[in-house]
Amino acid sequence: MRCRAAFAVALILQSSIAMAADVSEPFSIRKQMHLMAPQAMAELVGASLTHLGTRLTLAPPQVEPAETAAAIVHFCGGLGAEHSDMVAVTRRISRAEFRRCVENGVTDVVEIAIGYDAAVLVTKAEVPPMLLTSEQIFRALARDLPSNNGFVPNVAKTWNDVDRTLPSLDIRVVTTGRGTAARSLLEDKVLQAGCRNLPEIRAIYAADSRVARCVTPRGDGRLVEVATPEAALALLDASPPGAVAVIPQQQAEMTGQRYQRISVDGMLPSGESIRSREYPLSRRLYYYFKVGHMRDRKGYGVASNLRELMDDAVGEAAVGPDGYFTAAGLVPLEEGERTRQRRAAAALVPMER
Amino acid sequence: MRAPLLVMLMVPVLLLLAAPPALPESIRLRVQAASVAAAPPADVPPEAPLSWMAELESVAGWLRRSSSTAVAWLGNALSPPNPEDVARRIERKDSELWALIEDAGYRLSNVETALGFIPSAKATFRLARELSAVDREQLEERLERYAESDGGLAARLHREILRILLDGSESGTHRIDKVEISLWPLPRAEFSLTLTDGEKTEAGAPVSAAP
Repeated sequence: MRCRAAFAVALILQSSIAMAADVSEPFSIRKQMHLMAPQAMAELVGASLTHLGTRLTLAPPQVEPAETAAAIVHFCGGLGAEHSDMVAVTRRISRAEFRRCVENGVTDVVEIAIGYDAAVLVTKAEVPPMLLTSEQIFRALARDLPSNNGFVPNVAKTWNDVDRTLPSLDIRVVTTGRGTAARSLLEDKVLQAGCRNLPEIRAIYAADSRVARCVTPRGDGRLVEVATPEAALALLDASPPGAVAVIPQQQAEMTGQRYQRISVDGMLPSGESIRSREYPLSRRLYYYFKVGHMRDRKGYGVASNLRELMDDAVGEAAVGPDGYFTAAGLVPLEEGERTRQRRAAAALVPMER
Repeated sequence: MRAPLLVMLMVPVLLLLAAPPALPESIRLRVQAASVAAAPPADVPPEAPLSWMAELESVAGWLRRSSSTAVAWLGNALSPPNPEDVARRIERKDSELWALIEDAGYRLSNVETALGFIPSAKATFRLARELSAVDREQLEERLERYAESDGGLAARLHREILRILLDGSESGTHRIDKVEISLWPLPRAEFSLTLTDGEKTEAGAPVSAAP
């Protein structure tokens, strides 16, 4: 009898302990995180996951490539396992996009700026310094140029054909393919900026047609696409004077004084000119996290390790001057800004637009 | 009936005779400066007091000038700005607002001014082109910089107008075809929406097609 009572008590205790263990066990609908990022940011997201993986055992995350606008549409589509947990994008979520997020129940979003991306135009050191404007670069590279309220094929052969103040050297611009960080900076921040205010371009109503006019390159070999920044520099070395390579800022820093940086719209790339947004070929990059997908205090959530990924991305090991984002080529944010972001992430301060 | 009028006229004269009027400091300084400039400094010491008659004359001059200024001001207040001036100022982009509205894809289509007891002036802008994602991003950045450089009430109103235009440019359900900015007597913006059901239109008469 006594033995039976002891057994019953032990059974009750065991089941209670088991129940308690069940409750305290974290639970996620998905073990793996679902992240979306454009090609230009894939390396940065990879760096974040690699760093987090050194501390935690991660289920292999699903990193889906998508252009910034498409990634944001998916992210703002709603809450639940079928929607992405985080997006890495090359611009801020706009007010209209955020309104769509809120309409779909994605109300708590944490916005993290991870640093500045920048590209640099370089030429050979022995060539006389070239000071270019966005419009001159557009006029050197566009397939068609505005003329008498219409468009004519671009036949400029030398920089001097583009502008009489520029040297009589052959136009040749070497850059990486579409979708890469340096190329998208060239297209968005230089070619579009250089053509936006021309009357013939301003007269085009449809945005798609206007953008195509601005970024469609000439097909006569004056713009050369290569696979990597290293290949761009190798081709620059083999090219005649006047050739220009468009490469990531980090690549330019690694080459030291071997190449000459070209000023664009009167600005040379530097930490200061990039942070002040005066240097045209630069932009801030962002991570957006869904608070509704993070595990709550009881340990329940949509995706495992999402909060940990966010905490990691705001740490000095990521965004600091010696962090992995800096190693991947970003210019770090100002120290005060990094502290502000860490506080916002720790308190899960939702973004406002 | 004449007695009160006479008293009214006499009182200020008697007061002036009893004590010279206290001139506003700016007028006093002006009168002194004029006296000093008119005579060699050695002959007229700067501290030399003006006779009350001179002061009376300067007061009369001041009153005359003030009344003519007031009439001119009242006249200006009742007249609206010249429509050509308004159009020229907008085209010159003498305010950040005009530059921003143009960058938001709108073009000045007409200016209306009205004369009356409460005059008015209004500029109408029509949508001339859709914004691309990069155009919007560039405009957002400009608005951020504008906010950093000018936190004033007018600048805030400008930014709010632009934010509405930016939101409208991204909407899949409507398009802001027209924005009317009232400049006078009080600043005001009116927006005309057209429902689009997500369809893109070529309402702005594109000059050329995509390459």
